[in-house]
Amino acid sequence: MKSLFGIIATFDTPDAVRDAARQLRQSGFRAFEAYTPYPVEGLAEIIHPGPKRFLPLLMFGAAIVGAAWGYWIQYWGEAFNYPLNVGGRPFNSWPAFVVGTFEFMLLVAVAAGFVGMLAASRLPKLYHPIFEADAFERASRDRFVICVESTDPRFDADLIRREFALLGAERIEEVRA
Amino acid sequence: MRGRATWLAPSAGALWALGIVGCVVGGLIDPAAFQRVWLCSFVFWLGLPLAGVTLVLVHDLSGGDWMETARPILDAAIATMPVASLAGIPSFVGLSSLYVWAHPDANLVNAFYLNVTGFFVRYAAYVIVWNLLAAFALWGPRQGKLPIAPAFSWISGIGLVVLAFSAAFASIDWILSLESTFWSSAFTYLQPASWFNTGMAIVLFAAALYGSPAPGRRDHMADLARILLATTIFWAYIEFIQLLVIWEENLKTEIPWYLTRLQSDWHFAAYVSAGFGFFVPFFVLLWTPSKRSRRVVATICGLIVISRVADVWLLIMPEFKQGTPFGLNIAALLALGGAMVLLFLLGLRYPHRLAPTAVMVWRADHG
Repeated sequence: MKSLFGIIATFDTPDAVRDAARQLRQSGFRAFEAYTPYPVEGLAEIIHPGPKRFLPLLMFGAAIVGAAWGYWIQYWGEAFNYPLNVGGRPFNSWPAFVVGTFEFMLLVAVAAGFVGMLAASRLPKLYHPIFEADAFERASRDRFVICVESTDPRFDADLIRREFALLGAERIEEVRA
Repeated sequence: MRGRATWLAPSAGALWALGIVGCVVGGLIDPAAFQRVWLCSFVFWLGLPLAGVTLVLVHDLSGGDWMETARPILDAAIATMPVASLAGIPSFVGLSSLYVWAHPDANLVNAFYLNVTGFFVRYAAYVIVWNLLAAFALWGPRQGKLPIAPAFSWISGIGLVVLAFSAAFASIDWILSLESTFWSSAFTYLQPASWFNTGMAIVLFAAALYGSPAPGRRDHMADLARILLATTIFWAYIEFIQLLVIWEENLKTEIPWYLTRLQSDWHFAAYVSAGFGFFVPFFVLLWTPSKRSRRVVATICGLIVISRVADVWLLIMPEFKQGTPFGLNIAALLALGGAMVLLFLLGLRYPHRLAPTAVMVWRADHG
């Protein structure tokens, strides 16, 4: 017998899944996750409330590093390593360097954002226990799915089943993986 | 505006009186100096109604819930258009002391455009077009935060194009033509963008002073701050592109335009303009919580207004070699500014006088 990963329930509408998530959180559950065919407004804030500073700070830091790096490359080449007189302009010709600095800042910030996003969502991931649930099949089509995981300190399979039924879940089943 | 900032109207009135006295005394002693500083003040304050009209017309085409908060303030801003647009007259009375091309013996190749008759015909056209658009922005058939009735939205679209072109030509006529041999196509975007930022900063300052909306209602101040952030970036982008193009071209006809400004007594204004007009607002407003704080937004708007004053003075004053008493600059800024601010406050205090229902010409049921 495989161990219990969690209890999964499907809902018909985005409003129903939002209500369910709000109710679960109010009942004290923390380790649950929603899976929806498209982004449901406000759902992410209910399940994972609080400020998310990781990505903005990472990208801001990367932008500063990228700008400094981009300027240094041009400064080192044009003013330091191989100074070239172009029409009598100063070697450190900052207006001309701004465009390259901006481009390099974007490159580094966006690359950091991309890698940071993968790291924050723990991707790539080839397998997840929720794939074992039959009800999960329609999460990418027309159903809104919530799964309360057994790692939750308040986890109680019967209680969660009753709660899901009260919230008007269409289908409730156990996920074993 | 009721209940808040009651000190604003009396102090604006006092400063207005002070400014008028200063302008009268200064104008009698040195009429040419008065014309110069009045031109700066006129160009600066025109931003308030122009930004109001622009934002209302843009909203007619785009929509947006933020209009719920912005509408009464924008209406008050637009209502200053007649005064703001006609305020150029004291400067333009004796044109030849302002513009080299207005001298009879100027002999310029571009005299087909830069001549006294053409100048006044165009000025009259700007005044008429802008006031008509202001009337349309103020009294067109709109309800609350909704855009204009669909049957009229084509007027908003064409109005925006007309506004962009007229503002571009006005900035050529009034500012760029001070140096009659210099030409920069970027400048025709630059000054209208600067005008928009001026007006938007004053409008948003009023929105920040307004106080929080009723509980349960969305605070639109952050949305308006986002618009201002975008347009300060746009202004900085165009401003930098003009510098970069002239830097790369390295032409004798263009570089002196910058050198005249950076070697004048007003060179510090360049740093105020760039610092308070872009760098500080950009890094502060980038952070979401600061867009939601009334105190931060009001401070940033104040800095942007200061930066726009510096920008206008930097564009105009270094063209004149004759000295100007410093107090006269302040007097001109206050004399027109006092009238503008009082009108603006009057519009905020009695918003129903400006509402479409008070005027029978336009009715919502037409659309």
